[in-house]
Amino acid sequence: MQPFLFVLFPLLVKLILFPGLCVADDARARQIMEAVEARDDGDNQTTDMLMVLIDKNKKQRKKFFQNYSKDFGKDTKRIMFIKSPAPIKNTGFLTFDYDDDAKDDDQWLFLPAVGKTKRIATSDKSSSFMGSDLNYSDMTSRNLEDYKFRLLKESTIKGQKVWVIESIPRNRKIEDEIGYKKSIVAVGQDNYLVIRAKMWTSEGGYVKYLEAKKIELIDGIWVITQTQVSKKQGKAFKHQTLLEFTNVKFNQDLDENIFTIRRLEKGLF
Amino acid sequence: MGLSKPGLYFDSFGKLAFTSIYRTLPWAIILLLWVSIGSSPGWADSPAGEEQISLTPDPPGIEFSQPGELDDFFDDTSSDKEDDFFLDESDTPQIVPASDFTTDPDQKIDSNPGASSSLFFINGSVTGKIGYRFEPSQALPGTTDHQGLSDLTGELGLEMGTRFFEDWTFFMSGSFFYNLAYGINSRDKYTDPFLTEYEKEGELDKIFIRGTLLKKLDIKFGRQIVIWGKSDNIRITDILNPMDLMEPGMTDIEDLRLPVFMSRMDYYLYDYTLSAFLIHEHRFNKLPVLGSPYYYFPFQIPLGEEPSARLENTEIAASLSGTFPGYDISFYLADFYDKMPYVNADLQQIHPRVHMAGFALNMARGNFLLKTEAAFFDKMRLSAYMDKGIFKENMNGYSRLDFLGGIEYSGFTDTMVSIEAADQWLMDFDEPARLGGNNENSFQYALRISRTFLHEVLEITFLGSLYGKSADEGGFIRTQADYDLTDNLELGAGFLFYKSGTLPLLREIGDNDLVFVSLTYSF
Repeated sequence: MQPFLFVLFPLLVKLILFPGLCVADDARARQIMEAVEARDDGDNQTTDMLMVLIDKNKKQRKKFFQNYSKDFGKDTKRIMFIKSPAPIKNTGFLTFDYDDDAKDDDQWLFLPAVGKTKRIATSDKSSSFMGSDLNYSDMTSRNLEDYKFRLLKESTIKGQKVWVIESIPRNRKIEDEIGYKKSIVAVGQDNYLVIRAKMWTSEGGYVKYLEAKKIELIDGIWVITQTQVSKKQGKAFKHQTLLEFTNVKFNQDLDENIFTIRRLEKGLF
Repeated sequence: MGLSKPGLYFDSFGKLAFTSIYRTLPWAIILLLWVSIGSSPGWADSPAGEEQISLTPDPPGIEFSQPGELDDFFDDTSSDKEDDFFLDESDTPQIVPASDFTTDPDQKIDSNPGASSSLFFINGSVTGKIGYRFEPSQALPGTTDHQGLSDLTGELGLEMGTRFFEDWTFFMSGSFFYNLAYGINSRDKYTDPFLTEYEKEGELDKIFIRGTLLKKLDIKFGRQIVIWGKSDNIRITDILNPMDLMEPGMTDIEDLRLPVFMSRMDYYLYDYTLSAFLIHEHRFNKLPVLGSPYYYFPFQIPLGEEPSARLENTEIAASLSGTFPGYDISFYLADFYDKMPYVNADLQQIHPRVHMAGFALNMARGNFLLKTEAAFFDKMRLSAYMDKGIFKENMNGYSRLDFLGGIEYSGFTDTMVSIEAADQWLMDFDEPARLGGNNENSFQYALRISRTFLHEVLEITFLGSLYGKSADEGGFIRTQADYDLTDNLELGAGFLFYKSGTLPLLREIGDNDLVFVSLTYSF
């Protein structure tokens, strides 16, 4: 009996104190999230992006970007240029997003004021993306194996049927990397788009609310063209970000030479 | 005299001995604590309200949602309650069509990034700066007292460009500044060389044509800046452009390099870039002059014979750079004029022709970016030395090996920490070199910490740079805050502490501490 107790006792303690640890990953939820990741998000994409940042005093700042992305097998390369405001105009980012999770993404930043291209270590994605309410982890594809999923319920949002799924990083390291300790997302049952999300940050006790405000079918691909993200602490509003994508085009037959440091340093001009 | 140390002398020439590092150390410690504490949970205000699900630092696996925690955000009813989650519609701006932000509204995004931009652009900035040296006056009789108002400057910078054919561009930039502080303080107290260099300046900075000659071959001709190396704070292989060293520590990396006329060709093959450079303009570091608070000689050392712009004097350089998953590597060769002069027995500044071979490598590993650079210099010259009361020219040629190692860490949220250390090893170190005030090994350390706050509205930067194996040969520490008042208007403020040390040229730099404020409007 004694060996058996040695095994059973810690398990009982775990069950009583930490019931979540013993909850198995939800196969249905994972299947839905796999469908979200596998959804056709287009290739050879070009788009303009406007970012409006609004602080708690309603003061606004605006940034305007031009983006290009292209799939290279399972990997994706992106290049992004800032068109305004003037102090950071022509700043460029080049990102190689590798499908292989054992491989860190490559990222370079070109600062026109300095005239230098600088490699960025990209493992930590918890920092704010260009001062917005989104983290870098929100802007890149994620490895589903890093998360536990649970289907909380089925619901309807503005007439659209959705699955409401909880997502939790499997360990502290992953949590630190993405900057969230938990997320709940609403996935459209007809298009597999995440149309709403609520994210709990690891630091600061913030909760972020994300909503797709406008969804368009472009070249046969569902695209969220307006997104609103708000950051709150308790009931207090802290910050909000609006994103608008325009001139969204797919299948542009982009030259692979666009996704090079040569192009990054030349900029848009 | 020890003047022939390119890469080390971003700063130099103090007048009086005074040490200020002890006042700056507490700031450095506070800053480091701020970075480490600020990145850990609990730094921000305590979370409050029922939205918060779990405040415990337990593993995330236990924080599964409980009934009632989903609120109305994920239900149809939420359409009536959006105000709970987002700003009121009245507070939320209508999203402006993105096309309003393009220079030309009719010009849509194109599959060629260059082709989607406008044919012509002009940008610029207007800056007002105030600087105040707050050390008690230590000026010796007959020297300039620089304490008090040192900067009341208006500055205008303009840049313009135009695109022609499909992939050719013309670019030019220039700047002008005028410092009213010296007029307010009475111009009579300053030397003529000082007023000439520091009171006003108008300069054509860059002017070049760039284009694609063949599919894999680019050329760029004109006055330009070429940056070699991977480090951000200490220059080892970055030797093609001279530097502005007139106000050490104040001039940040953006304005440190001075453009020169050169012809550049880049050939791209797979992950490699082969570049060749012909440098036609022989431009050298801008150094402090007689009467500057950073100049310690009792007289102005005149310029010696400078290389003419003849073809045989053209500086030649080449590089091979590769970009690979996880790392970048570059190899460099150069036959160039040393941008830092040595002083000959006739007390003239001379720029010797020097050979250089080097490499730079950086590797990204998780949140770390590892950087290393090495450069071998040959045919270097050192300044004259005093021997039995007589100035003797050091006729020896010297070789030097420079090495840098650095780590950059980006694992703290919105924070970048960069540490670099470098050694210049004078390989042929001898008695004349010692008598000339040189060290066999010259060490330099740099620490840069920058962090953004308030969604990148505020950025605070700490930069410390110290010389000597035990960091006891002098240096500076600068802390600066930049706050975006609007998208185009930035307020900056900071302080700069100098540390005197045993390095001859930094021995008396310590009483130049200053505070500064700037306001910049960009358009």
